[in-house]
Amino acid sequence: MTRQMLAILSMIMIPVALYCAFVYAPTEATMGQIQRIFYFHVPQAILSYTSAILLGLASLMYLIKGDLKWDRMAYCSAELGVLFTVTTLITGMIWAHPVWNTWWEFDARLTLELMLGLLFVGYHMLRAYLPERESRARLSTVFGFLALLDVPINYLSTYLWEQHHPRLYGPGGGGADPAINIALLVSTITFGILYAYLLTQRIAVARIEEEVEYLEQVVQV
Amino acid sequence: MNPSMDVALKSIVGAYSVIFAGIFVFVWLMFGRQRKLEKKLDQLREDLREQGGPQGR
Repeated sequence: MTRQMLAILSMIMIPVALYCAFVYAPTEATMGQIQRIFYFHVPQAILSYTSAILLGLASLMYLIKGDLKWDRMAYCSAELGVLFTVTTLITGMIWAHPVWNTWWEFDARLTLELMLGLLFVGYHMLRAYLPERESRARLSTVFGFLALLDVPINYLSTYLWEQHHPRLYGPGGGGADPAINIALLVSTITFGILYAYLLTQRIAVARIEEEVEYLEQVVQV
Repeated sequence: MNPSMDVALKSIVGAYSVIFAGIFVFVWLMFGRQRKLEKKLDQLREDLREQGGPQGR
């Protein structure tokens, strides 16, 4: 029921977020129309961080409690992490090409985001090579902690090192028009709701996967 | 720094398409897997019923 509500709510919110990004928000003075990529690119980046935080915390909870439900949450959020890291990087590259005149710059923010994506992929590759459920859950926590560690460094990288990536908020950032902030907030909330739906739905599928795995073992015995 | 309207629109459409296509593919694969697993689960339950074993967790 909650899952259905989240699905319906995100379907309603997506047109609202699009309206805010294309109609409500003013055209940015320096970059012009291309800045509108920002309204969907930033929420993708926030959700890639969210995935890493959930993955790291769920890995920690699994090590403390030993309950496989935490491992389930960890690998489901890592899957969403792959999706949102890829969309963050691609939308960033599409923005960068006409603005920076290059698809890619090896500055700290971009490299750390790429590393985060590779950590999510590495997490799933490691799991694929470990057939035993408990050892798979225990050993893959290492990647969970590395992903969690990447987030604060990634976030602070624009303040710690001189780089190309724009800095809008926080120390040294120029700030933004209130309408730009509202449009960004609306699209972040929209993608947050969509993320909650995708995560809960993926966890439901993971439960079925585990039941199938269990029954296959019973049938073989 | 301020690309032409044509370039900007192409980039915006490209970026938003990537996001929606990515989410669509994820959802499509997830539901495809769910349907396949549910079928398999029903089959396994049927097999167990025939064997008189447990019906799942």
